[in-house]
Amino acid sequence: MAARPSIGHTDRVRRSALALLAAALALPACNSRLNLGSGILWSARHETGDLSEWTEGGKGGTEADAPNTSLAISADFAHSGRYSVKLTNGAVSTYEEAHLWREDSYPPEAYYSAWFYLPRAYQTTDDWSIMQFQVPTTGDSGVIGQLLDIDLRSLPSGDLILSVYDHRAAYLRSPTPDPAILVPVGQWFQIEAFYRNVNDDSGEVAVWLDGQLNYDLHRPFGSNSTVYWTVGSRTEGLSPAESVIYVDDAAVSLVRVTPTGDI
Amino acid sequence: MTGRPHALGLLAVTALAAIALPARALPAETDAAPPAARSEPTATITVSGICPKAEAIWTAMASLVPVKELDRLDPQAKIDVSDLGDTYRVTVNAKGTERLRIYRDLAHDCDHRARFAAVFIVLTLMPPEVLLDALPAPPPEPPPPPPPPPAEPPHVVLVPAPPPVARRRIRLELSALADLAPRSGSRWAAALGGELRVAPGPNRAGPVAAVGVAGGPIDFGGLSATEIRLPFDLGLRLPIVSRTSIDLVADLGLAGALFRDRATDTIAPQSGTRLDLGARAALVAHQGAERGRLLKIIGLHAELYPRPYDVTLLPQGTVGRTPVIWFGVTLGLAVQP
Repeated sequence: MAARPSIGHTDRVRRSALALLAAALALPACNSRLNLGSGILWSARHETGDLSEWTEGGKGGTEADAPNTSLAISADFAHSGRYSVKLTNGAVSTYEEAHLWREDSYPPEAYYSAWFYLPRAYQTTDDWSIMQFQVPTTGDSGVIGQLLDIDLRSLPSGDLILSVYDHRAAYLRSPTPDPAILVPVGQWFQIEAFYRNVNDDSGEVAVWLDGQLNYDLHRPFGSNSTVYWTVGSRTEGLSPAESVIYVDDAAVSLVRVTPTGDI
Repeated sequence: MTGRPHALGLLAVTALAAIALPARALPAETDAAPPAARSEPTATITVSGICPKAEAIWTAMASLVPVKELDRLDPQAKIDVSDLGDTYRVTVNAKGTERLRIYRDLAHDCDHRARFAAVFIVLTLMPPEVLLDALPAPPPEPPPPPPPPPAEPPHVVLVPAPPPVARRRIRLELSALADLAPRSGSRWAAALGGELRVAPGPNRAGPVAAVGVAGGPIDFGGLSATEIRLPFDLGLRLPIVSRTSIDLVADLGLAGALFRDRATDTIAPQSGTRLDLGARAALVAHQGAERGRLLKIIGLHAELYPRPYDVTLLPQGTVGRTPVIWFGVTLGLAVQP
């Protein structure tokens, strides 16, 4: 009888050793990646199946103007994983929007990226803003002022291009590059903007469409260190009137994500 | 039957005295005419190896018995002495009977060996009265009677046991460690440190295990990092070659390394810890007395880790992989407790 506990103990030790060995051998298989740096300040891949990444830390939110617009997690299309955000907009005569935003004191130089998917072509009669930079209005921190929009606009040929509109009277609509870079329909495309938020001539907004530089605008920004970055669908009078656009894999980063980047 | 055992006992005492004393301490007759200088072997002494030499054996025999009595050795007797390294074998074949003794002598003292061989030869071939005749005058007080003789006096081995020599069962090897990992497209990774290894003693096969610590720079494409490694291994040590003062062994076994990498030249650097598992092979040479307490060691080893990790940066993605193979050298000391 005295030997039984000893044998049991030996068995337990042996089993524990085997379990440790198995765990050690399985360890590389569990995580074959070793990440040694991240320039990602924030990201939303939507694989949680909800919009919680946008509201993370109380520094963001989502909103849709009822009843003509809506936004929701969707499994219709996804740039990576299973989910994206589906934005619908049926505004006809006045601007309405469904949008997601982040607001934070991001570094003066940062990159803002998101992937979009248009399931079909639309004809715009007015600006269709899908990305915006906004700032608090001077003297009233409760009001967000319009600053810079990145819009979809239709060419006479029916193709869509990106267009940049600065709400400040000194700048307004930026000239369309020639040749124009067309926005693809029926496939995911990435819009990435570099925003140097400084209040002198070194201020800059550069916009890449699928990794191709589309706009590079130099002008003062930086009236406020807080950046309000919005991704959404703000428009009126599209044809057809009921528009759908999907958004996925949004990120704010210190280095360019590029179309091949990993967030 | 009554006188022979007593005579053999005296003979044994005499032989032991002869072993213990140098040749010039023998009786005056021997001193006056050194037997080795004027006697020639009658029996055949065949020696293989270098220690002892036949001449030294004959000299020792001549110091045990009067020279003229050496002529009474059976000329047909065959004496063979073989040097087997740490041991030596003495075989005496006379009148169809073979007697054999194997002695151990780690010190390789050739004179000592010669005296032992001579005693065995003389005791085997000489009639007992020969040595009795050669005894010096009895002391004033007779010595106490010898202990009762064994049942078979001719087979008594009058060889004193050699002093016990500690058999080294394990070695503790403390070494400096330098590892290199060849990389394609990047600077070779290097790690310097040390290791402590437990291994079987000399000329033994057995389990070997080690733990260590090392660190150094490592590059992954354009990303520079530092790495701290805690290598360990468990395997089998196999002796390959053993010489008087050097031996070579091979270690084969499983290897692992817990390592922590930290980026040094990227935005928002991070660190990560992972475990490498693979195999290890090594050659280790030890230099020093086999039974000494301290030996010098130098070793070469290779470690193979077949499942490397993808090293990533966000958002850039994969920038490199951890090394698949490490080569290294160890240099240090082995302690044999």
